[in-house]
Amino acid sequence: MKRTVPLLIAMFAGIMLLASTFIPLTETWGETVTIWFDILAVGAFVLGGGNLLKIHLEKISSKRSGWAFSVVTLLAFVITLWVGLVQWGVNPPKLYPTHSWAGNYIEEGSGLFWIYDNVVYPLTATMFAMLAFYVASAAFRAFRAKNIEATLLLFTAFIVLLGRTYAGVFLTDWVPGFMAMITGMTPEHFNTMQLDELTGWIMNAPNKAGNRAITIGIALGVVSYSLKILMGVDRSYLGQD
Amino acid sequence: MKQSQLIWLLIFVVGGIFLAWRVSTTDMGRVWHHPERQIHQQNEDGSWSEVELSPSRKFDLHDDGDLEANQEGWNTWTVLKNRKGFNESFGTSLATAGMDPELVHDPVAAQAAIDGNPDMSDADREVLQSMALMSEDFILSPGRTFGLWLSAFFTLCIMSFLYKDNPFYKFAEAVVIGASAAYVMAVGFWTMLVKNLFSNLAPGLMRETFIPGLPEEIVFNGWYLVPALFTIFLLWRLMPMGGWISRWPLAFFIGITAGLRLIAFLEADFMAQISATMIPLWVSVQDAAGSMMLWDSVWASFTNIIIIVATMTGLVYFFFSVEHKGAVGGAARVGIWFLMITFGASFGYTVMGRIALLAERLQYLFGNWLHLTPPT
Amino acid sequence: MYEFLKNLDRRWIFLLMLLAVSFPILGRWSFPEKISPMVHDVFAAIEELPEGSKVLISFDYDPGSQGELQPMASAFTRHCAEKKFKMYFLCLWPLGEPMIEKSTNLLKKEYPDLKYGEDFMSFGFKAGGEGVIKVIVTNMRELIPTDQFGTGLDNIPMTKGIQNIQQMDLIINVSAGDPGTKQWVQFASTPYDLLTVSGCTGVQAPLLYPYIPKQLRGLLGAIKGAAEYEQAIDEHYPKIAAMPEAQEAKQRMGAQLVAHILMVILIIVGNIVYFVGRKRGDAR
Repeated sequence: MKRTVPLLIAMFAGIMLLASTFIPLTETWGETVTIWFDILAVGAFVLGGGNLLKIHLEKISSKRSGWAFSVVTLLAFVITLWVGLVQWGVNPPKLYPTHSWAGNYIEEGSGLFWIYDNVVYPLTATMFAMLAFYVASAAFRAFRAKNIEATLLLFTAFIVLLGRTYAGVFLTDWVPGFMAMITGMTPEHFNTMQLDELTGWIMNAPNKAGNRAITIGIALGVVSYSLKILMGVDRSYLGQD
Repeated sequence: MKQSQLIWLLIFVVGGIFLAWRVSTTDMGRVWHHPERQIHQQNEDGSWSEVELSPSRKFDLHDDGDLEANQEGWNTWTVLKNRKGFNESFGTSLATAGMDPELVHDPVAAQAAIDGNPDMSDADREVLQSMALMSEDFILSPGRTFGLWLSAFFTLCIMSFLYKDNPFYKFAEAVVIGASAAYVMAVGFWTMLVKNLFSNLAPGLMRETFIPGLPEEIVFNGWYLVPALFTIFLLWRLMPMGGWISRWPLAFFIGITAGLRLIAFLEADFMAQISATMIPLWVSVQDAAGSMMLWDSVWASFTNIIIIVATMTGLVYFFFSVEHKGAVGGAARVGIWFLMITFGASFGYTVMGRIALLAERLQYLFGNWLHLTPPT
Repeated sequence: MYEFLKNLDRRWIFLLMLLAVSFPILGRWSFPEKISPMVHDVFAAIEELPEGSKVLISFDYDPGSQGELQPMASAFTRHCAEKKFKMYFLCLWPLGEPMIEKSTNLLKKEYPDLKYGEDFMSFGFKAGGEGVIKVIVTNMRELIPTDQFGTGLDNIPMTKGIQNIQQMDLIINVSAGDPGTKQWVQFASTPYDLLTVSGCTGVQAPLLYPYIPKQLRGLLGAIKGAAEYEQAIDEHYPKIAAMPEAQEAKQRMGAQLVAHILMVILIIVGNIVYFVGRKRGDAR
């Protein structure tokens, strides 16, 4: 029950999806189990919330350091969940005004929207914005041209950083004309010598190819790992006991 | 006093004085709304539709004894229209007409000034008058004004971490963890559990409560007991005993993910990529007259060769079953060079992305909160 | 000087970055944009479709990426509205529904003639990421029986005959990660040959180039891609060019320019410090 059943469930679910790809008759089976998967994804959201509650309640009860912030987390959690589930401030839908619970839960002006707009949005956005500072600090401290590989990386980053702003145009706009004057060819032949055009070429040739090698490598890894799971060779997801 | 305490004190004092000055001299940090009334009428077939009202009637909130709204079979809503930036555009229009933009704060005085301004065409006067009338209808929204300050406070709390870890940052971090987790749960409940799970297990109840528009062809579907049970099993993990049952839904999740990805990666990331790399080594670029353009042909061919060589050598670098010596070692070395160019490009793009995020946050603080620039 | 730079407190770098981004925003600096071939391809893919084409617009991002992606989401929406397409909004990220709301609010404000249900509609958020795409590409009704507001799809004029997303003429995806453009390519565009364009974050953009042009017609990479796309729209639609709110990405490029130059300077100075230190025998 603890190991064999889940193993069979994983094999059955995966093989049903594979079958639905190749056998038209089984296409709807594949759709059905995928919808179950989508619903279960929300189960994972709930599990995440439950885990959060458990961890912070334990922290508060054992008065571990920083427990006061756990109280803040729990308060934020409970208030947001309550506001969201009771649809605080949500109007009934225009088409069905007698159904007071049928409104849009995230309607502009509702409680949950207020929390989104004034709490979740600024906090999440600022957390990510902070990375601009750390990437600058890291560039100063760790980005060293120690060898040919690091120099290539650094040099490409320079071109892309300048080429993806107006700097690329104003620094090298003159180059094609100048080269045409020296060589007697038309300026279009030297367009790629402008930083913005060179950036486009780097993205479309070496970057595309490098990422393609990575993509193919990852694909092989994913395919072999998926096969291992479906054949029951890899059972690491079942844990130890 | 320690140096860090002095810096904090300085930031708070200077920031406080600046804020006090901005609040007292400008409209900063306040959110104004334009309430709009919507009226809906029940049709003969039982459905509801919005009654077309003239703009002035929509904005007419002062007449609470509105007869239309009290008729049987009518339903009224008051929708708060947020008009961010209205005062800025009104102020700009006033300034363009050679008037004091600060009049936006006093609509009555603004109307008098517009009436008394001789250097204005009738059309311009009409536009400005209508803006002044609208401005009069704005009401201060305490909820959103508080929200704006809270939002700015949280933004600064997070940014304070740049100086060093502090209780303000920890507080903001604690709030975002709790609020985000609960927000995602609420979203999941309304969008998937109600609309997909409950609607298949109790369609009648859902039609009467949460989803009156649920199509009639949706009837009880017993197969949906499976995801319902799996969800319960998954949550059983939180119980002190019998947590092993959560392996069943977990195994289902893993199995589906493996099944989905096996085909998708094989098709889109393996076969399609190999096919896309099978490109000609020589590309003949021709002009409109059909004659070959040598330089362009050489450049296009060079690009193709780079794509082929970089992909192949990159793959050789990732192939660890053979020792990287001799020709293989050489190819792997070329491969790593191309990969470094790839990582350099990724670094450049990552920096660009991060700075854009910071720019948006600063635009929010400078525009929406401090009103130093137009709001976003 | 060497000692000062070697032991430089990182907070000075933070301050420099703050100033580099703040000044261009406060000064409202902006610069001309030159449209790159990649952005031109995205613009052309949309521009060449006939009036009334069905377009699925999936906003797969959240506030953490809004600074990069909101300008291109708005630009895509305006372009589709100008082309009088039927717009079907969807999102695969739980915090993404308000992004749809932003676009529908934009349509209501700037295109009051367009009606919900006839010209645009929203499926809202659906959980499951790639699992959602896998289902709706063959059978939409089973997973999405109603729109975001609970109205049955048969009661909405523009979804009446829609059974799956293979009936769409174009998929536009604004993506911040997984699920996002990679999943749309893997589960929709590659197996069913659906015309797809994308706008994505800077982190993602280089990783998506291998799919171009066959699996993905074009890509707007980060804020620069959005700025160029705004420029392309401005050149074709003077009405939009006259709207300051439609130039959001272009306005941010001033801050990008100064901050990128700062980054280059920081890397150069950092390397000078490193090489001087190496010459002096400092272990670092």
